[in-house]
Amino acid sequence: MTTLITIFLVLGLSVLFTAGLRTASGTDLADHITNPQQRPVLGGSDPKTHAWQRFHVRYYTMTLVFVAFEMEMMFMYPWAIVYRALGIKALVEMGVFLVILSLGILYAWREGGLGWQ
Amino acid sequence: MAVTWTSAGPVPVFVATGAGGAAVRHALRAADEVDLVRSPRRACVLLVAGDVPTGDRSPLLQVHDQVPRPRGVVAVGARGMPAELAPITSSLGGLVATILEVGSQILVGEHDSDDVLPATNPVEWRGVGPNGQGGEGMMGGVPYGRAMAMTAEGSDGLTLDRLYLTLGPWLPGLPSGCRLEVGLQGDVLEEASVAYPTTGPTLAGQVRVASVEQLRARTLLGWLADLTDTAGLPALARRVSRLALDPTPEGVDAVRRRLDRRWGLPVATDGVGHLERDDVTGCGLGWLARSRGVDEDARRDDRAYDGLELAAPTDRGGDVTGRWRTWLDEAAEALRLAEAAEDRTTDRPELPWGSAAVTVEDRAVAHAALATRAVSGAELGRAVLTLASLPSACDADVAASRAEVPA
Repeated sequence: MTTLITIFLVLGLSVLFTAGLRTASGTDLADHITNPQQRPVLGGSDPKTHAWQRFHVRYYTMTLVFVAFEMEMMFMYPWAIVYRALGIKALVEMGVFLVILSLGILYAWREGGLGWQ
Repeated sequence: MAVTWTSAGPVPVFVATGAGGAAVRHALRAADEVDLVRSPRRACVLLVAGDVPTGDRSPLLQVHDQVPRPRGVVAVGARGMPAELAPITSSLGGLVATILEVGSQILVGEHDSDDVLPATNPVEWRGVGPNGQGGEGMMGGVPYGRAMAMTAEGSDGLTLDRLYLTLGPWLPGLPSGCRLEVGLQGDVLEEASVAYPTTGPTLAGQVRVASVEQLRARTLLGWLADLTDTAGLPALARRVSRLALDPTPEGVDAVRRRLDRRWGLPVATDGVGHLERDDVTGCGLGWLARSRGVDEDARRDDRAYDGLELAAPTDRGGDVTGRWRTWLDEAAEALRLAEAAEDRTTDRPELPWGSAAVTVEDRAVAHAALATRAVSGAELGRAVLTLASLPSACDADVAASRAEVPA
């Protein structure tokens, strides 16, 4: 019973708090935003096309970095478990794998994929 | 509502800088009582500094209406203000006091500047299709009078939507009056076209060499302050603005040492906006040619400079870093020349932005072609930084309300 009262009390306080905030603001902002204020800030100019479009994020450089740094860990955990059993053969195999991944990192670096923005 | 608890602190001001308004921007950036904001949405006061060309009046009205109400408008040396605005005019000396007064009046609800543009979109939504987007799928149609983005092949061989925008003429970060038209795919400028204003300060008769060199130092340091601000270093920009208002050789050296630190401005500007030596030769922008080691300087043939021993230009590389290093070199030398020139006069000096022999229109055309070349194919942030490193005579520290170089 006490839990139920607490839940309703918290719920009631939340509603009161929200209603208080809305009353204090005095306005419903959505009704008062004029057309110029809805426009993007471009220094006084208007866009010629709608912004409703497919933004070209260029995910492929991020994908490359993700594969190079993240996917290698996926293989390295099981490799670490069997490393003692397989010995030098496991070391060579992982070495080859890391060299290939390193080439990917170098390529991403050259393409500017590691640049700070 | 624009009035918040934070309004009790520095007054947030958006500065719309026209030709001759740069000094106002630096004075406000150096003042502690004012917070220069980079978007009208964050401002309480719109400050118009310098001349407003006829073609830039309508964009200024849009910027005005983008400042949330209640708002104030203050003007300093602003010729050609739109008739719809009724600004409070001020002198440069009393500007901060005026802004504080307007800010406090806004806080207590005694001041407001009404909207001047229609509150609703004058072009109705004429959409068809399941979501009113104007055509089939996401393509076609002109809802609210603007076309939907269509696909085009980008520089990486992918075919995706291209967004066409015009940035400026009142956008902080771009040179005064500069317009950048872009076709964006993501944040890469697949198409770009830059236009500079065809007006600017002109030379009026005989001028003192010391005045021209002082103007050079103030202008170049002012350009550096704006570039630093655009690069996201506002505290450093404030320091450089203070120096631009009252330049000293020691101050220039101190700023140079600060900028030479490893994790400073060069991180943002190294390798950005590269221009070849052939690009900058003979374009009427003497400082830009000298930044690539080309000795293009009207002072070499000016008898007023005889015996003052002008330093030979150094090739600083063609990127943005090379350009601001040239500004520091030339500002330091200008202060030395101003000291040594005594009362010499000249009538055809090498002005801070280029030779006085080149017309404003010719320089604007050459400048625009250079800038367009430098930003094409760049990412948007780098393009804006590149343009901040290619300012025009309109950003010179010529006193607002007069368009002549001081005699």
